Amino acid sequence: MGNLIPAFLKPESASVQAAKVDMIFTGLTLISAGIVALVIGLVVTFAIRFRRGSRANRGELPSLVSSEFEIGWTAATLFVFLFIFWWATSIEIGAYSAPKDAMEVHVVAKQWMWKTQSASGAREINELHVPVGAPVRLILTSQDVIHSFYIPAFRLKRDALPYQQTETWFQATKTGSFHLLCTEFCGTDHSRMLGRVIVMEPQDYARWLSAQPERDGLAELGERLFTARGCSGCHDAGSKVHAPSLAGIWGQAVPLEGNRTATVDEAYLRDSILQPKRDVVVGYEPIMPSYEGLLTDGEIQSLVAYIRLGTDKLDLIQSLSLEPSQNICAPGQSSASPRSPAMVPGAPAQTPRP
Amino acid sequence: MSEQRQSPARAIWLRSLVVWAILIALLGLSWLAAYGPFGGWTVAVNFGIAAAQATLVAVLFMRLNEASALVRLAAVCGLFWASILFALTLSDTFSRLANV
Amino acid sequence: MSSGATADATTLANPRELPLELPASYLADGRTLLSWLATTDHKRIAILYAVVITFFFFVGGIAATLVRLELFTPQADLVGSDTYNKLFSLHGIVMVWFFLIPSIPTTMGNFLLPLMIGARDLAFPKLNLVSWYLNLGGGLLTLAAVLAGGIDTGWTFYVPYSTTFSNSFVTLAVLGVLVSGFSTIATGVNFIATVHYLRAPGMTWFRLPLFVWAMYTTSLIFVLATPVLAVTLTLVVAERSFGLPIFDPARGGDPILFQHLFWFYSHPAVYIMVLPAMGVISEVITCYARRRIFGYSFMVYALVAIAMIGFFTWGHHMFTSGMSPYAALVFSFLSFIVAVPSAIKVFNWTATLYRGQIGFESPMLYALGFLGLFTVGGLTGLFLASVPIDVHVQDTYFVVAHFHYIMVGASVSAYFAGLHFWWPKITGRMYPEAWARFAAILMFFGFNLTFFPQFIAGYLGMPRRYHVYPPEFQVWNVLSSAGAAVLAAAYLMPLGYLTWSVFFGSRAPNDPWNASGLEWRTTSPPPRQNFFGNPEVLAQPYNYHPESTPPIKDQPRVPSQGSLT
Repeated sequence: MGNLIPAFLKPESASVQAAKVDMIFTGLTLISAGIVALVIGLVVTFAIRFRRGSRANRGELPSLVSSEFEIGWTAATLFVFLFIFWWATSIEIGAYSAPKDAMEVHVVAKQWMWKTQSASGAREINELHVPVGAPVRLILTSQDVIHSFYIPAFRLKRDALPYQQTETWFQATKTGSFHLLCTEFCGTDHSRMLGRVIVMEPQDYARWLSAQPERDGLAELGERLFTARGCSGCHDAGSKVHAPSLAGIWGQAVPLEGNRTATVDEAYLRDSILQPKRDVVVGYEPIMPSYEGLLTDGEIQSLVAYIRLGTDKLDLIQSLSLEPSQNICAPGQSSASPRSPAMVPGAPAQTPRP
Repeated sequence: MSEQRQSPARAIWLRSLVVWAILIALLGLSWLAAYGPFGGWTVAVNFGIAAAQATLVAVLFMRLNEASALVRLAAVCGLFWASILFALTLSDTFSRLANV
Repeated sequence: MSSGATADATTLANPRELPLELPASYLADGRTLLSWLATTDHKRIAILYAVVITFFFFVGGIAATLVRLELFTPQADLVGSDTYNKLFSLHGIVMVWFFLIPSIPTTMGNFLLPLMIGARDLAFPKLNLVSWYLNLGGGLLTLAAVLAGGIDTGWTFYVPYSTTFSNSFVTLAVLGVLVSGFSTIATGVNFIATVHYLRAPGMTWFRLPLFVWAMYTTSLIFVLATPVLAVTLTLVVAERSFGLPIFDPARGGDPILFQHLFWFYSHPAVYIMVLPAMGVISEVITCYARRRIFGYSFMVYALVAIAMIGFFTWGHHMFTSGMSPYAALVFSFLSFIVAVPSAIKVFNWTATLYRGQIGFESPMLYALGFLGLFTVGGLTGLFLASVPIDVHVQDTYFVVAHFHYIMVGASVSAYFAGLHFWWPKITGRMYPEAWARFAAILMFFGFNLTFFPQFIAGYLGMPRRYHVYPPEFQVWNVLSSAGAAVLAAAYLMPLGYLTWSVFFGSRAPNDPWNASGLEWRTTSPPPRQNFFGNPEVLAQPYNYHPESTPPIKDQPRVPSQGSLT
């Protein structure tokens, strides 16, 4: 029944759940159209037939119309609505838990991008490649505010909450590229937090997987340092401090005070960390504190490697384990502040690793 | 009702200010209790202080001890409505915990 | 009937009008600004409220106009993202708390409640004035937030964005809403006491007009739900301005707790917005169909049922938040149940038309529009109560269309219906009927053109609160924005002709519509003390024909509800 909906009025149906949702939607639309037609039809009919001064018969009300009649249509309405509830719920109950063999994907949402990592280790930004026909279980969290992971083609949506994990699953039935949208208002670029879910045939997926790059260990260390030592407190998007974003600046020419320019290379980054007030980029205040004596040479090297790789290319999927040092929620907050990972009294202190 | 030697308006002000002062004092007490060495009992202590404040409002301010049964029923309905909030919210929170 | 006439008791007189002797009117009872700003007359306070909510209606409307202009194209061309976010937040906050929630209760409720039950004023007239000042104060605080730079969290203030991440004037706007919440609590208390204690002799509970029942049940929601909003907003201010850890997950809090607390108020709030509208429609349909309401007692029970069951359904705003399926089931079930009384009311209004003598004066046109739009809006609520569909359309334009069908299509239509129906009573003037009918029809078509395409855009997957959007949604957005232009015209027209009528409209008789109800048994406009004498109620409301016979011919209303002696 779901394919009664014309194609231009619905997104693609690319998952098992999509077909079921379309089916209920069609059914509900038909029932609603019937009720609307009934009400509007009666109103229009009565308005014409019983317009003031018309010669329609207005004798005694038929004995049919009495309080039993009212109770009757109340009961009928109740039964119709309860039927719809039962029908919709039966589809929801069956669909709630992921199959046991579902492939696990971790999603971390942050202002304003999606970071995904599949169980096979492939990490992606704003994209997710999955094989067609395989159930995929999504475990979602957020690094800052509440976001919502929405794939219209799969009729799938789940909020990503900070310091919590939420879960959902899908099974794609068609190959192709489908929109991924954020649907919980999360700030300035909420509407630009777009992504793609790319569903591939199993052999294509296997080929794609084997082509994923190895991770650079030094950059990974740099990324941990970046957050642990508080750099992200100012340099991350969403920070209250006006600090330049470091994504993609490697090799760029940046304008400095006094009409000079500098190219962002290893030397420039080292100077910016140790003597930040020397070459400040135009448009920014010289407020960055110096890290002289606070970072070893090796640590500075890791940070440079991280910025060289691209701060938006690597992510901390293991932040899902909610270790304090790696998941700093609010700008300016350091890993030193005490945090309770428990969301409710009596919950275990360490959430189990997925 | 006791006889008012002052004007009725003054009596209302006096009663209300006294109740308010006691409520603020209890608020201060709960603030102190947050820093107190109660361990796991902190929540219980603060709930107790809150209950004392609610009783104060109910008895001295709303005068429920002198009220008719219908008025007391209306006050209890307020509690019932709050319990709807607590019951259904906790049903969600606790069943999330069960899922984790 | 004593006429109490005075020679210059009128205000805003047309200088070419004959100097007839007119009865004393509440409008002429004091001519200074202070007599208005310090009044305790419920009728004057209703006018004061009307001025303020009309102002906020157009503020919210301008924000909506800018939003819809921006959404003509998929790219950002009119405003930047931060400004856009502030615009839709402004639209939501102003329209919900400073227009819709006060609209019918504080204007028509304040004006008509004492008149309909035969009282001289509300139970607590000074508290009524305090309510207005609280509303004004809250409105000024929110305006201050807007002028200082705006708030960009959306009207729902979700944490942690609003407490920790937003760089806008959250605290100021939240305080504005908090203050206006107390205004509504005071109004609710006032109305409940009035209905309990100040009914005229013979006005028993089951002889009350349905508008009074609607005001009463709305007031119950005011006093039970709004305190929770006050607490929630206080917690938001505590966390944002004082750093107290309440919702912050890094310090042991839960952002979902905010959602539960917020929606525990905000779902009954939507019933605050719709119950008064239902009351108005009952009055208007009975008058212009010349029929008693069909199933009076079921209509009363339906109002009470909606008010009560509405408190149990708030979780349906949170189905995608990671809620457990069991909690979702409970909320979904209750959301289906709450739709039943609303359906009953629609059936009863339709049945009221049966064998009536239906006229198509402008209030009736608005009321008939209400019937269609409320039915569509209410049925789409069933879609949203079904969890699988809600998972797909939550936070998309489908939800936006649904609530606009109810809040704008139904509630605002009813507000205009009531405004036109009681305009002669309130101002003593008739408005130009042809313009009013045209505006009503234009509004109906403009409204559908604006919001029906949004259902489609929503099911296609267009999220709400999007400044820029994928290009495939453009056609629906263009349709919607075009409709918004028509709707804007339809809302500006009443501003024009109703204002004109205050100065130049013909004088209204006491009962221009030949209606039942005690408010029509006094002059238009009424005197300061509402009635010339002591009203007494002799029979059921809606006495448009004897009980057992329908209006075979278009006959004058059978006089039974009260008298002027």
